[in-house]
Amino acid sequence: MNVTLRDHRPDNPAQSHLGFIDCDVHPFFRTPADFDPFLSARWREHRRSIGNRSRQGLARTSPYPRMSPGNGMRGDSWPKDGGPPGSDLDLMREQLLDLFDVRYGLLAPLVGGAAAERNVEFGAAMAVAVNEWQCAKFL
Amino acid sequence: MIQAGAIDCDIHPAVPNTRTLLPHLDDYWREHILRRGLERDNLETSAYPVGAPINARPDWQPAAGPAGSSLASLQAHILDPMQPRAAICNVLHGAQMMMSEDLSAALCRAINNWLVAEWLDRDPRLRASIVVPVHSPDLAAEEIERMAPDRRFVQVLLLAMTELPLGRRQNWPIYRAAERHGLPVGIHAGSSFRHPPSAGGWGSFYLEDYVSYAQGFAAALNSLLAEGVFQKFPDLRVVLIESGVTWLPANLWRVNKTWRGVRAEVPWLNRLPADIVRARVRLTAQPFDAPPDAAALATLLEQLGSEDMLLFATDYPHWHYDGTEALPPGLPAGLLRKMLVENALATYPRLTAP
Repeated sequence: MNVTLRDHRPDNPAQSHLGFIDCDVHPFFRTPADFDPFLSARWREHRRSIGNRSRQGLARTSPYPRMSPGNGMRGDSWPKDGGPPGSDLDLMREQLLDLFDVRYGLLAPLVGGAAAERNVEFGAAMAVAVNEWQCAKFL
Repeated sequence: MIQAGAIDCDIHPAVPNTRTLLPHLDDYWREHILRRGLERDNLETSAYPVGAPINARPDWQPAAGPAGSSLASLQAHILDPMQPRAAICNVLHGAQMMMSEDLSAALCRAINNWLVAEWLDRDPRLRASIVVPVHSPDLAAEEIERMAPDRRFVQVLLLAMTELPLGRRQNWPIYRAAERHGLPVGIHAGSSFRHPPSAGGWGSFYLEDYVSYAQGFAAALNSLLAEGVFQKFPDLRVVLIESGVTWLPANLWRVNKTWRGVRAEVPWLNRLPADIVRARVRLTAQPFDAPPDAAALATLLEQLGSEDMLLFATDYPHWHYDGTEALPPGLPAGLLRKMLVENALATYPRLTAP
């Protein structure tokens, strides 16, 4: 979708606002099964058995773990429902989109492992699934 | 069906989750791990995807948790029906390969403490390998010193593929400590993935990785030979665990032949390499990449050249066989007897000594 920003008019013209654009917002899944509706049966089965395989020793996390829970997440960003930070759109609105009146937040989903995946067909399937998932869940 | 009293040289208890290790960490590391949230991840290795069928026989899945995480299941599936004299626990875990050597060492200490409390103290048939931070030889040697007084630890566990070829001299503190305590070094299939598991680069499929683990064993063995580890540590024994076995004869021919031509390069290597391997190296026979017919099997065993080398293992809960058919078919009776009991007793002095 193309949007011409120059033509945008604030809903409240009296409000003084820069109308900024947040260029790095990370949506997250609640569980890896969130991607299943967007995978074929063949790749759902692959995700559950072999799973993501990248070029590092640990299967699901970095061998250099970050210093805060959730692999580097801010402590106040955990949803009350127990899901990981970035997984709850309402909380994202409350803490970011509404609070700062963000005009556009650009989603950068660092999930699904598509780019690091050694099995390139599975990587391609996960890339499609992550794109479909962010459309369905966030856009 | 395996006779009672066999020695199972490779079973894999699994850490059910990292929270399980918290009581076994010291105060500093418990707080450190909780503050970083590391207890929320199970630190599973890429070398052994927990959901891959080869790593979890379907009828050996416990009601909850990863395969191998339940002592009751191990008892029901192996210890009670097979009645082994002993079974050696080899834990494969991300602790061995964390980039921080201190974190790696802390998690390895916790795993060894957990093995004592949750496995060795709860079934007298169990023995274990000491899990060590494989990329930090000095800290690994410290951990060997710490655990060696408990004689239920019968071996030191390494991976075939780490940061350096295993024979390299930086690794010698591990071999010095193991030899001092009469502990064989068990080299298990797998990689910490600092390098591709194939010498040619990163493959696409788990099948390639698993098959390539045999290359990793060949590289580890050739490194131990060429660097002179067997001469420097004359009482050290090495056990190759889950290697598939039958890649070995061709490697022995090649290393013998090449050594004859260029042995001046490694003057400390003063015996035929294959003779050193037959005297000092043992292999668990699960899996056993056996040829399909009896004549080919007989040829292969003749090429192996010793009845002392093979050790029985179920490799529980990995899926190499169905039912109770844990032995490759067609092995001669004399070899079987040695494989099931005598070879293990000769390899692991702590199985017999008080």
